[in-house]
Amino acid sequence: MADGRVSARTTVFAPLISGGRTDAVIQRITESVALGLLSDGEQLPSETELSAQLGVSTVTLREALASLREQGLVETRRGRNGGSFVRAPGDPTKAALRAQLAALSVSDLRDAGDELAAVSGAAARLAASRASTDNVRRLLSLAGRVEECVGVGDRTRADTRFHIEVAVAAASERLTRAEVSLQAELGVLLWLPGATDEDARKAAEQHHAIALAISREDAGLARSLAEQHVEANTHELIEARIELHAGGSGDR
Amino acid sequence: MTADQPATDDMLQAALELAAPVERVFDELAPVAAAFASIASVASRTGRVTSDDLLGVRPLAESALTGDTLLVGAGIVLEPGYLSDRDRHLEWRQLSPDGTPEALLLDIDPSSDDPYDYPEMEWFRVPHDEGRRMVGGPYFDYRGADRFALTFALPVVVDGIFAGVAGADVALAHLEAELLPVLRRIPSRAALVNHERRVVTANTPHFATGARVRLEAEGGAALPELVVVPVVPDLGWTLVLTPSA
Repeated sequence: MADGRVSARTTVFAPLISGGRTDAVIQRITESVALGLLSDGEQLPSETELSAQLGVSTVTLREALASLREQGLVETRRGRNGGSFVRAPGDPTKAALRAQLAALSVSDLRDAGDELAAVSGAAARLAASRASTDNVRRLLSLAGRVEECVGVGDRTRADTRFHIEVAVAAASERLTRAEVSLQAELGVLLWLPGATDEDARKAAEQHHAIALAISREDAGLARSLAEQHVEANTHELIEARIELHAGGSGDR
Repeated sequence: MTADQPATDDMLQAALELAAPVERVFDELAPVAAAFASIASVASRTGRVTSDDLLGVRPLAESALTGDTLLVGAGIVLEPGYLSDRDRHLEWRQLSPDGTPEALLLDIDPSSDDPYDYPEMEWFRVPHDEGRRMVGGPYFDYRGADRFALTFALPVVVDGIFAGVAGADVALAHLEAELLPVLRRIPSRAALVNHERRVVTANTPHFATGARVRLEAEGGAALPELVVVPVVPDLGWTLVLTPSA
């Protein structure tokens, strides 16, 4: 944050507001890897640097890194070119995503969806009045990426990245943090295998409309489009969650 | 209301199955209520009842709590002024994160800044005023269960005097898991709604949890034909369906 501006990258290493707890560090790194903000093989800053950036003690950081190593998300090498490196797991399996969805109740999903709509709506509204030319260019180029991608992992990263960049364009670190957390919780479930190319086309179209409203500085439109987009996605997730219960059939 | 469409046998069957977990919670509460009534009745013969006398309901509350996965809290809540040693009182156990029962600590002192003012809650008021059982919610319970919950309450009357309620907190997520398989079998959009017409659980995101279902058109907008089937009539819980949608 040397230039005082928010970016998706710098929020990965921004100080933890929730205090210097080990699990907060673990959550931050895990979310960042899941959303592709940290990529496979990438070297983390040194322990001294990283603990200073996150605002935690080196003891806390070491505890967190030990746990991340155990989960296979971080690898530490010794020696001259040593350090801690990100080990991104492969794309989540269909079974893993289904289990993640099954762990949430319909009322949990509605609740998380409400929060995501609030955060995304506010971010889009603020972005319409704050986005720089660079932000807008980036949003317009990211908008359609979800359609160009194939595969659950790439689609998920493209989709969640667009939403995170809207919050970045709003120049709000807290909204960006909230957007990252919520995308890690909900966004990763949206592209459960079974989502079609048509779904990706629709998502790209809605992203474009949001990016255009932001570029035209239409705050009201940007907000309502973002809210509608999230609400439609939440509906899809709740439908998918209900489908997990055996018995019955058909679309409603 | 557009409830003139007749309910089919399938709908009536579904209503019966949706009522089962609700009735089960009240069945779990019956021994708690009975223990409360008998302890209070015996103690009142030798003077007025104290909070210590009522410690005897604790094991029954705990066995209800650990015996049924729907329950996350259980106990008794006293009518203000009923006990001799304190005005307001709860003998309430809730499940700790590790699944063992523990005391629920609430500020119920009416003179404090922000007390848990239970005599004002619907689940206490209705049993008190009307002498009938009641389910409050679903609501977000940030003081006790810290999640979406419903509060079930049975009035307890001792020697003709309202002594309080036997109650249980039910996690909506747990209840939902039992209701959804039944709702899923209904081919049209369907929601189980409470006495305020707010959605407890539905088989479609079009009826959002906690949202009020409109039974009548407002502002001239046409609503799809709705069928309303009683589920637990005394609680005002109904099954709302849109057969045409």
